[in-house]
Amino acid sequence: MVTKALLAALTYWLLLLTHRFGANSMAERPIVAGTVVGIVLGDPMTGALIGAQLEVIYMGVVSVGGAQATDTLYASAMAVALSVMTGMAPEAAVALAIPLGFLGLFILQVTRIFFAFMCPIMDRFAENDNRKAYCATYIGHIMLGYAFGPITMFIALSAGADATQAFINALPPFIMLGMKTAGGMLPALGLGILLSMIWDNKQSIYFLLGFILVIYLKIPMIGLAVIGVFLMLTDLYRQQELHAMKANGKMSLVDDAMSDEEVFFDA
Amino acid sequence: MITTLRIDERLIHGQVIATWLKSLKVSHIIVANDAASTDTILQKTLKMVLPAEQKCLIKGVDDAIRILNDPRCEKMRILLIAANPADAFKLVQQVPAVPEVNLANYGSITKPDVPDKVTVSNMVYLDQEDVAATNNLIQSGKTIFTQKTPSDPKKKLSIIQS
Repeated sequence: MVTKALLAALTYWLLLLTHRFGANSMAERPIVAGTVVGIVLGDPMTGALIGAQLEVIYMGVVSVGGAQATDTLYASAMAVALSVMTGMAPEAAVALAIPLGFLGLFILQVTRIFFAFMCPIMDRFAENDNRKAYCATYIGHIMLGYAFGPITMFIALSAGADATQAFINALPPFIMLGMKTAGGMLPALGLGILLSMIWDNKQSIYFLLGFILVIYLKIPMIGLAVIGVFLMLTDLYRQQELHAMKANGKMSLVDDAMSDEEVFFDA
Repeated sequence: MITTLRIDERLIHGQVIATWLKSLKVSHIIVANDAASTDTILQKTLKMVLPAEQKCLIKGVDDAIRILNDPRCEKMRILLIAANPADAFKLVQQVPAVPEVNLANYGSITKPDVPDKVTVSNMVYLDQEDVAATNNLIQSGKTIFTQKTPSDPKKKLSIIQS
């Protein structure tokens, strides 16, 4: 248990650092994080399943600046670790992941307070032109700050996994059934959030196409994804042709002679 | 029509684009800010976060007032953005079509070192000048409120004592 808890926490820490240092490398997305944690704990299947479920829920959740809604990475890593270590049903782990995401967000706030404390220290290094100390502190404080979450995760998993397992075994079956049902419904909520953000009347044809492909042609999810890639590529090629034509001056999409106000009022 | 006048010291940034454009069904954006209207680098940076087809005009406050009073604006759904309460008050006075003012995000970047600011919310901090401008706005009869994103509650402002 302790080894697995340590592995899960370390993976979470590395993913977090990859995400932070790797310029939005998508390492914090549940489908990536879930699979990686699954591989490390020796159960890639469960990891990918939970990761994919959580990805659907969190697809519409985009973290912009300080306006972060939840810590998707903490939620996915914990859900996968709990499911693999305690044998909890993936659906139940998904339902449990949502509150864990808020816990992760709370720990991230502590990390941010720590970062704010480090700023004056780095300011002083910069004033004294102490480049080595500045670089070391910069990298060091990020690695240390983002270790807060993994430490809590390690403690929770190593001390709490057995307790969680005993607790789950003691639960009456209807509660587990309820959690599984809730976990199964959450992806619909996630898609709803995503649609409310990206809905566009013209683009909605793709949404309806997907609906029809699934309902009438019964195309499985993987086939649907591949069709999606084709649609995306045709659209991309058309856009590239348009740009090329525009560059060759065969077609003028935006008239350079127009002032910014004329372009603004141009329907 | 103007959907809302938003006071945001960062003018255009992730939060605005991700949420308000959709929920207000915005067709055009007008940023009324004297400093941004002459700074082409800032303009490019601001427009960078917008969808490619988004119509957006960054103008000085007086130019913005002239454009906003153009009858062609009635057919649009404009998101009007100002950087501070004083600019917003000028807009409210000279553009009758402004329906409401959202004092959303102000005071932590503009004038960071002024002491004794009034805290309106965790996104809005006002010094004495700003309090006066905000009170002017409130007395103008329009609804003045503070709301970070559409999913946050809308908090109506009343005269600030200082």
